[in-house]
Amino acid sequence: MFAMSLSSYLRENLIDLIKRIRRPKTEEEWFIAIGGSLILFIILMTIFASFISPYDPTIPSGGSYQPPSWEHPMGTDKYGRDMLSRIIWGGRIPLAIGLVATIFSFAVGVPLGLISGYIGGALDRILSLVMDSIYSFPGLILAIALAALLGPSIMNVTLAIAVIYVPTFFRVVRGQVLSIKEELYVTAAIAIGANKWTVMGKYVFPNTIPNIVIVFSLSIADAILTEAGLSFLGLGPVIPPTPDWAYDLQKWYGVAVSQGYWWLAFWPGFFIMLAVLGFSMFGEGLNEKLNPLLREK
Amino acid sequence: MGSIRRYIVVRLLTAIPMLFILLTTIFIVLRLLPGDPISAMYGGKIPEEYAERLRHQLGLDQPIHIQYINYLWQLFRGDFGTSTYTKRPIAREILERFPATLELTIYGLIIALLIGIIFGSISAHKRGSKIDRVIRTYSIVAYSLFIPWFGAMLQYFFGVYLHVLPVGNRLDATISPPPTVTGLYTIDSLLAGDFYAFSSAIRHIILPSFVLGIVLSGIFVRITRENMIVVLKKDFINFARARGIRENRILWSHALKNSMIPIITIFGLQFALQLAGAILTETTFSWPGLGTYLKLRIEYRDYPAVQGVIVVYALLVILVSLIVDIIYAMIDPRIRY
Amino acid sequence: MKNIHEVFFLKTSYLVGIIIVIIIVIGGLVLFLMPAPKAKDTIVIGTTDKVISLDPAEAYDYLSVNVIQNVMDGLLRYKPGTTELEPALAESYTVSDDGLVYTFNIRQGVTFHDGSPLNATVVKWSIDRAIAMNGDPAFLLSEVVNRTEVTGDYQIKIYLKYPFSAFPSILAFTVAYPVTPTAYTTDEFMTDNIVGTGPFKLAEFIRDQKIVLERYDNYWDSNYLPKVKRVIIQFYSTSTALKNALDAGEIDIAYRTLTPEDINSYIANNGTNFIILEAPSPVIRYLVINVNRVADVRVRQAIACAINRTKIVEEVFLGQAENLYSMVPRGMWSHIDAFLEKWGETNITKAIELLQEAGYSETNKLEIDLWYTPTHYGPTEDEVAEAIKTSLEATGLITVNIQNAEWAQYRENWRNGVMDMFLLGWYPDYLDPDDYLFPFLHSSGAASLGSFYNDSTMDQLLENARKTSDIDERTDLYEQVQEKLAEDVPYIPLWQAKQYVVYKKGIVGVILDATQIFRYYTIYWSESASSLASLVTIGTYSETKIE
Repeated sequence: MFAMSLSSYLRENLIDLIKRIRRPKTEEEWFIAIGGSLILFIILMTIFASFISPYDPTIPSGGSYQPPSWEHPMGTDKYGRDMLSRIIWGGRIPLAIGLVATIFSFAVGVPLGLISGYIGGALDRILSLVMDSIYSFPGLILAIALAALLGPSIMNVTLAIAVIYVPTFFRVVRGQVLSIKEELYVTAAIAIGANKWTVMGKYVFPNTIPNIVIVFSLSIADAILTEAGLSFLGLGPVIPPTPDWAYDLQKWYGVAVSQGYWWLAFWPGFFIMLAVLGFSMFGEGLNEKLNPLLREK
Repeated sequence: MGSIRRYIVVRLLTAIPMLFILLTTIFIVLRLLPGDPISAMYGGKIPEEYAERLRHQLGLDQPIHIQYINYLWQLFRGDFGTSTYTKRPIAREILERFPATLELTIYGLIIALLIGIIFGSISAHKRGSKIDRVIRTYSIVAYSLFIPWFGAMLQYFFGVYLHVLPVGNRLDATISPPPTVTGLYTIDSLLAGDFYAFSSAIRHIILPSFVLGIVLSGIFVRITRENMIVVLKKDFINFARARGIRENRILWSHALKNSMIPIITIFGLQFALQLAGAILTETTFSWPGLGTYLKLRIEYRDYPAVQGVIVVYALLVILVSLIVDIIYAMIDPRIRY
Repeated sequence: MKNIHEVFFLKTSYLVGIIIVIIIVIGGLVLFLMPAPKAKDTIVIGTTDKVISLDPAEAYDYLSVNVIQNVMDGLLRYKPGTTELEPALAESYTVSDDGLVYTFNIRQGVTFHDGSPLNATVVKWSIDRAIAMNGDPAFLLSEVVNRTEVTGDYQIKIYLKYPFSAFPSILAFTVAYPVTPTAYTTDEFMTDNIVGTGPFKLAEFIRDQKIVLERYDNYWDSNYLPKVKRVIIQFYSTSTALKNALDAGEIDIAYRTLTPEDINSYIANNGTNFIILEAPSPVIRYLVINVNRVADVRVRQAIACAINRTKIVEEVFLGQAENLYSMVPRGMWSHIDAFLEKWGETNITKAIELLQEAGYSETNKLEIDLWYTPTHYGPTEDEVAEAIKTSLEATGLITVNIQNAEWAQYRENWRNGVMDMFLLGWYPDYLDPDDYLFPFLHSSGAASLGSFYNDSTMDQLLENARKTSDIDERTDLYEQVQEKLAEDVPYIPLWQAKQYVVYKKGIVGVILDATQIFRYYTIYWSESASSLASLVTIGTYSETKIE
């Protein structure tokens, strides 16, 4: 691998990638394609919610507990609010929290990983120990404790989730850095006289980007699941009547099971799964592509 | 190359600071919890002086560093404190509920491992085929399932629509739990020869363990597949084949053994995930284990209990990863200090 | 020569085959061994409540108290189906003229489940113990009782700190129940076991799973000897699981708490497989307004006018509650529909008028925070908050911000006076208007209940009502209190819940009581096929008589 400037590197690989995905041939490319499409679908649905939503999701527009019909393809809830509209609008919070939390984790984990991996020594050992401790701990439980501590608000839940994924970014970046560090072009750069920060920023970091993207995607998937879990356990940030997939699921699943109003629980959970699936497939596919199990030598 | 003994010692030493960090973090996080634990239960009827007295009894009015030292000291002695909600020793409450979680986790794991190893291996052996694609898709979908949703769907179908399976608890109301040997109702009832209890226990554990198992199987399928593929292509397999060893033996002693090791390791690392999954499963199925306990106690701001559960989780995680690492080291002679 | 893949598949097929065989065997066993139908001498009750502690000196949550009421007796008790007090372990009692000394004559020949005797010494010991151990409900005694004195083998005198005409009702609450020194100590609470004089004794208690009670054949009161031999109470953590267990036949009776939707479906099919009973419950729900934060009484009055109780009752609870117009529940003596009389049902015009008087307009809207707690009162609180928001904002002059906090934080908040107005509930300790009014409106209590209301006239009225034992005098005083409440509006009563019990056809003797004491000893299986097929309302309030 040769040293490249950041922009040309991105240009070359991205274009190549996009070309491949438009006509997926291998399994991995299929995963990336499907995953990417799901992500796109959900993001577009969320962004253009006000245009495509047939009704206002917070206002009654039909009878109570109506099963799916032409006017209400996904039925209505206890207050006659249209479920389809609630689904369309319901992705905002999980996606927003998932995205922002992961960005936070990225912003903290990546620089720490870079520095720790590159500089090494005592700093590296201590940071690694701390990160390993957090990493090995069940994420949901940590999130529960933090969310309970900080109180249920969107900002706090985001923060609680962000903490969980910092070690993931840290580890991946650090691992990458450790292997890249030994590459010839890095030694060359140092020999020329480039200082630590230039080396890290211009040479090491760009090569970690592909893996960061993968971790990013997978973390968003996990973050959405964690946020849904928190909502389900009653520690969610939603104040009614704001639509939110996990909140609706938690609110109605009891009635759905005991009275058979399946549409109230099925759709919110299904869309949570779709979102998670999208990001997971995308990340997994990318992972297979960029880090294939066996390079045919 | 050092001896296995040295590895164990060093590994243990590493575990201690980790434990310490975790415990301290837990303490800090929970002590900052807003909400007076004393107030949690009452409907605004307790006069202030009595609340004060209770607070004093629990040592909640001491300066924070004294609380910290007491906390560590008590944990060391195995005293997890007293619940502010039920006023009972927490260690006892946790021990009461631990077998339930253990039982659920074990059956969930069995299902997950069976599905994971079988499908993962099939996928690896048939790499590149349609079956492989289906199984890989299954694995990602399984992992993306939201447990409460999946559980609720099954509860509706089997519990309400078909009325064949119960949707909560561990035993029928009229059946007494079997005498405690392991704490696992399924085992204990067999040991006691109480087949009615056995039947009841099985019927109650089917759905929750199935839900947990399927979700966990997603990861296990993937890991098994990855490791098996790598191992199958490894040189030593070819060498063994070249030396004329029967395929049968190659499969068992070389391929399987070598791929099992990483699986065991990952199982250990994923243990944390299993604990988290168990919480959601328990709350969905009214399973009286640690997960439900944790959720309820958080609501009541029962600090000591919440802290106790989290500490237990932390201990379990560290313990399991320790054991796994040691097993790994015992099998693979390259891992030594 | 097979290759490795073929070998693998061969082995795997074997494995899968073995697994399938195991599943079939276990499945067969399981299906074959479904639990046998229960004998008719057992009743299984399902509930979503939990038992926290079985020690009467400590128990303060609904189910713990209820179980104790079936396993133990007090000096006095409520007559089943009424709110009248009648003698229990005390055969009779007298009150001194100044209202400070109560003398009780203890029933003779009563033994505890372990054989130890009941006498005045034991009663004194029990009351002293409850006060000394200072559990959650202890204040009910310690605030009122000065000291106790044994004046005969079967006679005890209790000296009060001040005249308190509702004292007998306190004795009907579990904190005052006699316990035997042979089983109980003053060092620690006995949370998991219980020894009493009552119609049932404890057979088994598995935390968070179930309680098993057995008939005590030597019960002193043959009128209430249980008709079945065993009662099992099974705990469920969700209403869904409870309903499912009932439908599947796992339990015979479901009491507390099913969702409004489930209750409606049982009502619709009443008499087919299940019977459902409905009765008023003594639980009141209300809005607390912090009079320091919402200082202008006209604003509070405006809110009282704009509130739409019917909306809450109909939409959130599907009709399974009743509008409440006073802090004293309907059915309790001295109750008047104070808020209805003063402000009418829902009067938006008047609300607007009052708000404008207070200086608010379309451009200068009143901004107010409304808080609720998401789980403590069940899962419907957020819907209640939404409904209130809608009805208040219908004036066009109010903007409501909904907030929530988990129970512990909620309690902190109200004690620190952080919330403008918030939803709260009250379940009585003793059935007397005093318990519904004094803690809220007297300056000594109003701060700890979040309103910070402080009015000397109100204080005087309440204190006077405590001093006299004359029902008519007290009624008159309490009516004045309620009228003033509607005028000053530190609280707005919203609704009074109804209680429901659902049980299998063939069971008889289920009584829903206004006191919400659920008595297991009246229930049994009937030989004849079916019974009531319509909603029966039982247990209306009657006057609390004093002998």
